[in-house]
Amino acid sequence: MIYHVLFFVFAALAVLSALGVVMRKNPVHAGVSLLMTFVSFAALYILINAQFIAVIQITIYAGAILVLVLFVIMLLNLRDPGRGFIDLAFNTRQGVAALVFVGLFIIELVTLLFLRYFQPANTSGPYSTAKINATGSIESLAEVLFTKYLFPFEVVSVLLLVAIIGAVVLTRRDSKVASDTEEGGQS
Amino acid sequence: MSGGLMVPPMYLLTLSAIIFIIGTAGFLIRRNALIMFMSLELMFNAVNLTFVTFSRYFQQMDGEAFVLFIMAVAAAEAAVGLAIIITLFRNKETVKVDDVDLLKG
Repeated sequence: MIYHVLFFVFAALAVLSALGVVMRKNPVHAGVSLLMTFVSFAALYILINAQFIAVIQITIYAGAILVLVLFVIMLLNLRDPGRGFIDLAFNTRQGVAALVFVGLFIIELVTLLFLRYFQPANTSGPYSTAKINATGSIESLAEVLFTKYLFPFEVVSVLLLVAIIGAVVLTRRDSKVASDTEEGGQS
Repeated sequence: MSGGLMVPPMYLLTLSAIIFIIGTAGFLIRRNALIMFMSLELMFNAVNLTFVTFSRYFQQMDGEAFVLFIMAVAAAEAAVGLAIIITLFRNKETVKVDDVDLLKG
């Protein structure tokens, strides 16, 4: 019972802050709203007994990605758009596309909710709650990650290296580019 | 409840779908590149929640391993995507994607 209450509290927080991300004018406010979304998701992960995922959600999403996004927003030094929410304009091309997609998704969601396809015969597997509590959340994940998914794990590490190199190369100012931007206009 | 899911899995899947819908609508409606990027992160999070829910429901760990990969890829994509936005801003002085139309005929 308490779990249902907790779920609805954190789900409502997640939905409200997700709407805040999408509808706030100022990108910094949207970033803070996104932080609220990440934190409520982490709370939901703890609720379903995935504690390690909750911790790395905070560490990676809230602690690395969001910080990077906020730094970039402040680095770009944009004109202040003010406070408050955007005005929704549904007669533009983007508004119509958004309405069509959202309508399709809502139809799909309602279909899923009311048609009840989801009746699997066997839902037991090797990692029940008892085994996870006995072995530990991280150890259970490591048992799968370093045996069955070892190759994707190594590939992901190479991917991160490539991303680092790409980010450094993209944002490096060559001396020629720097002199062009300094002469051509204010930067 | 199976696998430690304290609520029925449909609740979590519905929430995930709602967050994904909000993220998609934000990605399509907003024209500021940084807000579009944040909507992408919302979509990633919704998918992560779906993966973890199913992982717990079927009492496997494969879903959580995949969530780890998704988070790593999201971090890598954040780094490179924001580098692209910075470079774009250096050259065109705007973050509105509608103003980047040099290839338009």
